[in-house]
Amino acid sequence: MKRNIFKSGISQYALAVAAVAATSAICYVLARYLGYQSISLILLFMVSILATFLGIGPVLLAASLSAFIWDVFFIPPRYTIHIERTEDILMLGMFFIIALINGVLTTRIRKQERLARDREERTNALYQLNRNLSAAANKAQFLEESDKLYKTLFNSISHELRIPVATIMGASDSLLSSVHPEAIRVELLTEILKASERLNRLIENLLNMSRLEGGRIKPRPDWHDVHDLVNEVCENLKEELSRFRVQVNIPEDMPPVKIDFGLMEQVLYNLVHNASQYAPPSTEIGISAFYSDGLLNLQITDRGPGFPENEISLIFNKFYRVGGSKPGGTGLGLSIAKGFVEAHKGMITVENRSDGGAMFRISIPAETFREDINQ
Amino acid sequence: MNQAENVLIIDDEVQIRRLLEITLTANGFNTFFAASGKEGLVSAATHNISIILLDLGLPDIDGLDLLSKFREWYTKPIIILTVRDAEEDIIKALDSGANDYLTKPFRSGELVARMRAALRLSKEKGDNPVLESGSLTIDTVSHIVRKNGVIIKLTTTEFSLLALLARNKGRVLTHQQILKEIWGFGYLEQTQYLRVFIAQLRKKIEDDPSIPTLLITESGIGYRFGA
Repeated sequence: MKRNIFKSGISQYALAVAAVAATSAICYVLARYLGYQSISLILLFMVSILATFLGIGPVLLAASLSAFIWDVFFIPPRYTIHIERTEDILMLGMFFIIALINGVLTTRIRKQERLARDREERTNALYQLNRNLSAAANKAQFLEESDKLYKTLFNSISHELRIPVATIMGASDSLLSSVHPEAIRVELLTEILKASERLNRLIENLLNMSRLEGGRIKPRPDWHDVHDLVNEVCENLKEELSRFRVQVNIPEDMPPVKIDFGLMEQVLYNLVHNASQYAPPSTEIGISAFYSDGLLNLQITDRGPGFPENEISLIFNKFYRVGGSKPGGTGLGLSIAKGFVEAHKGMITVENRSDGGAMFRISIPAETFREDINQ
Repeated sequence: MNQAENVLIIDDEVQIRRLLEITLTANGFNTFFAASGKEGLVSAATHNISIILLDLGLPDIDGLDLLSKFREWYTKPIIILTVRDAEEDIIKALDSGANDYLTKPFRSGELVARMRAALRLSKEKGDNPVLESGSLTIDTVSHIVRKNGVIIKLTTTEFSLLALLARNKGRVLTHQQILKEIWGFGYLEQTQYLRVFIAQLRKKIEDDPSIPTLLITESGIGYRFGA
């Protein structure tokens, strides 16, 4: 800012003259109390101050002017250029030289300082620019990724929603607009029912997902029989499971365990449903449960294609679908299962079986009840 | 059914009302409708209603409050209709006198079966000392239970539990209702007792204890004796 004010050369020279004049006037008064040598130091001090913010020209002018004034007004005999004593001539010469050197050096230092500052500012600006650019690049990448995620989500959900709705609309419209033989009527109506169930399952999953995301899943454990859990799931998936051999394996002495029935039912449902979607018909789907060391363990096995080893760590991710999956499905089921198991402070893992198929293992800490109750 | 039963449907969804009208009329019921709790109370008082289908989510009054109002004078069956994940409400409704519940969406076949079971249950005098269900006979006087004619040994508690459920055949009894009835007020939280005794009973009376058909679990709610 200061530099701007004194930018114009003329104002700098004017300031130099004014400063010298003012200082000289003060010195003229002080000369009554001080020796003329001390006056030279005051003048020199003033020139040094000017050198800190004026250009080289005005400083030279101030130095010359103050040397002249010192000679004429202060060095005896006063009011003449003439100097009597040799040492005064020497002092005047030295005054002029010191003022000059002072002015030149200070100006040079200032110039270097300004250069350094400019350099720093440029570096800063470059750094800032660079940072902005990389932030912009990151943001662009982030946007691109979330955009991609959003599109994937949107595509899969809109597809999953539209297919059953299209089925329901098409089938009911067909029933309304034309007369069908009884067999076709039954088939169309069955399709409507199936599509509604599919839609209902999807809504269930979406609601569960949003409950999970909102952190609103709080297990309310109560005593339950694991048989009931497995039966409920098998009953709800009766139609899907009719194409498979279902092998349930629960020890005779399986104790009641304290779990949230609804949540664990959903976990088991999603895993068994998943198996029924990918395993070839008439293969075996196994559901087994056992209790050990305070943990309820559940295992779900199938003879499906298993999971590609390089994708196995990703399958519990939300909306993740294994490459080449058949259409249908949103990639929500397994991530909900994981969320619900973790809400029980439990663990869920998956591995490919050595002889083909996949195996999901769940273990959750659960209280048990072994004490015999008699009457 | 000799004479058509009057059913009152209290639900504010037009589509659901229409669907129920078609289904229930086709199954021989006379249908009456109310879109709000207030209308429902008036309609139930002015028609000879044999059974009420009550949706818990009504615009003007909390479904559970309405249920209590009905139960001050209405003694015939009330079946609750509600959305999923409302277990607490279902339990409260059953504990405050609802006879059964169905979660939306439900299959109409299931609804009609539940309505018939509730109506049959409400008409039984309940003084028949011998309860029969398939291959099972329960003599409540002599405390003898037979399966395919063979006597099955039950402990006193097992017998009480079985008799209680069998007397309410087709109806859901909540954990609390059963615990209160069999063990008493001090045991309302002891659901593990119930799990153990149900498991023991199943081993004794079910054809395949792992796939029960008599002692049916209503997950998170209670038990129902199957037909």
